[in-house]
Amino acid sequence: MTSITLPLKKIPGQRPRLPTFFGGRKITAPAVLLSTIPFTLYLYLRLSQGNPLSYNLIGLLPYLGGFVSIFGYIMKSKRAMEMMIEADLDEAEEIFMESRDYFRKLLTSNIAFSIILTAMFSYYLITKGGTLLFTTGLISVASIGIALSSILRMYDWKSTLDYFIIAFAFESVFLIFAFNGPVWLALIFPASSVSMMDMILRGIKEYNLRSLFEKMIN
Amino acid sequence: MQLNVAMISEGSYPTGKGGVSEWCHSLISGMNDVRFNVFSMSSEKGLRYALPGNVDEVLVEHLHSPDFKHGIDENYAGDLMKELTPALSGAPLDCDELLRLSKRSEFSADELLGSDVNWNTAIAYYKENFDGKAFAPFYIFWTSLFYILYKTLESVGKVPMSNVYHALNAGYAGLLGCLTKLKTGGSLIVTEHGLYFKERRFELSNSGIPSWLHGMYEKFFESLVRTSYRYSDMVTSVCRDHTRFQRGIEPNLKETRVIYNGIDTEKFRSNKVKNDREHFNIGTVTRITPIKDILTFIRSAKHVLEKHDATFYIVGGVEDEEYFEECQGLVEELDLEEHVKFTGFQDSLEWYPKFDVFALPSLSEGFPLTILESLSFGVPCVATGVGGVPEILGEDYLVEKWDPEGLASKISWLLENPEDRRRIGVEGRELVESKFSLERMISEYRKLYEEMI
Repeated sequence: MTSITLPLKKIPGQRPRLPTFFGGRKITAPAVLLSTIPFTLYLYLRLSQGNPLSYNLIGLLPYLGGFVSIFGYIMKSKRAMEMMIEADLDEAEEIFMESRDYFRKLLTSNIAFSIILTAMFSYYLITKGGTLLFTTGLISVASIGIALSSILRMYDWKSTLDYFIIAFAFESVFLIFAFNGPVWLALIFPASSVSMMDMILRGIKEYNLRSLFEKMIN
Repeated sequence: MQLNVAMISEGSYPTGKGGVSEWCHSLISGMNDVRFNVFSMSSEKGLRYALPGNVDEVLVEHLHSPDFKHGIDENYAGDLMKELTPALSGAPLDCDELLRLSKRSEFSADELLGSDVNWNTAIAYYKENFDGKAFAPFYIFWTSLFYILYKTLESVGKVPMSNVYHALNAGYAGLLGCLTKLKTGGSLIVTEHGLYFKERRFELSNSGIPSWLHGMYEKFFESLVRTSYRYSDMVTSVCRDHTRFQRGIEPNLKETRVIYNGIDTEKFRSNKVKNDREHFNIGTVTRITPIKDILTFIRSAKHVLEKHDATFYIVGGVEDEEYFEECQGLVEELDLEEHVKFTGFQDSLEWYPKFDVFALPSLSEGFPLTILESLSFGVPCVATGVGGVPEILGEDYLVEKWDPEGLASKISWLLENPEDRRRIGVEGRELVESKFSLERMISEYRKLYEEMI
């Protein structure tokens, strides 16, 4: 008789394949961010018209910040989940609160960062008419927002794929606005990515130790 | 009254291969005039058998990874949980009350799993019993036990209506049988091939589950087994040894009966006469899983090969990949690559006639069909004296568990005495024809079914 009594792949004694702190795959957020790069580069190269190495490259700098944030999240998440497996209930609660606080701060700082950058790029557009810096800056900010909000995805592939579809649709529409104008309409994208991050921030408030274990097992 | 039987299985027929599945398939195929339904809880989806014409309906409750759904009425979940928590102390469940509650409202296993009540009960139990231990393994373990229990409750109305319910083991299948029987007014037979409780205990010892969780696991399955025994109208065993254990664990068990397994002696017959030869074939037909103790079989090969030229065949599919790797590692370590062969899953009918001796070093068995099959082919057997094996083989052919030298010594004796080997083969065939034929087994179950309606 084949046993059905230990049906979970993640049984105690066997090292479970740990999800991230919010239950998703480690690969999702970096992969979503990477998948947006071709859109951004295309926009940049198309608009820079033979002069790619200019000060407009500043518009791509937010990507760097995005990768640092996501890498930080993955590392912190990995450590937290490894400790969680060994911890008793009180310790688990402590690790949970500390990690949740870290992620809340990470998202809050990214929201603030996105708002400041969007304001700066907009100011530049208004005062100097720098369309290229404005659009590349905004697409970078918006892409980071999408990638960071994908950390709450579930572990399954379908859910991960859904997010790629969202990211592709988001970026494609951005390109249409950037090329066909009016260019200021592109402000919708960083605004909506900030609002997505804010929504997730609210979701994190309700995220508790029980939700974490449910996602770990699911 | 038309006899209508619902087979209730757990991880076996018709989605899995193995002794219990073969037994069930033979039983159904051998009773053309009886209508059967099959309900199976299984982690596999596909059917592994072409179903006989007398099977009306097959339902497989697929056990996938649990999904925690929220929104169930917590008062209701609380009432259900109150009836289920005795499982944690080893006490039998009150099936009448469980059934009454399960009729009160619709629910799914995923909703029960996602209820506040499930979480709070787990936390309370953890604090009372395991405070200070790692919480994650506990909660994962809790979920793996209760998820299937909830699935069992969810399945009560799904078993096709019949006048006799036949659970192929105690445990979840037995519990489902109890609840279904009470709901529909039919009768329940529980057949124990191996002892479910002992098998779970063995499974535990090989699972790598932290030892502090073992007690919880044992109590949980003790409860399911006792419930199955208490509410069934008849518990059948495949050997006398099991009956003693069953009465010991559940004093309120109503009735027990031993019905030996049987095989089709015409199918398992060979006219080939083995010549005396220099090279011998020793075989075992088994799933590759720790309970079958293939490691002892391999170690015994080393001893036999000191005196005889032989090849050792392990005929059967791999059920536990990690254990298979361990077996392969041992073969390499003992330098036996030329002499020990894993054939994978094959038609055993083609293999028995090739064997000079059949060996079965299992750590636990019910009433192994493979021994009957090899004897039917006139192949002498050596086996561990577990479960019903002593009721088939004489003392001379039994060995202790984990004893490769003892096993090797009995095998060698048979190889060195061709006349005795042949005589024992002939006697084995006669024994199977007279006591362990499929016709006899089917006729005894038919009689039992008729008694139940």
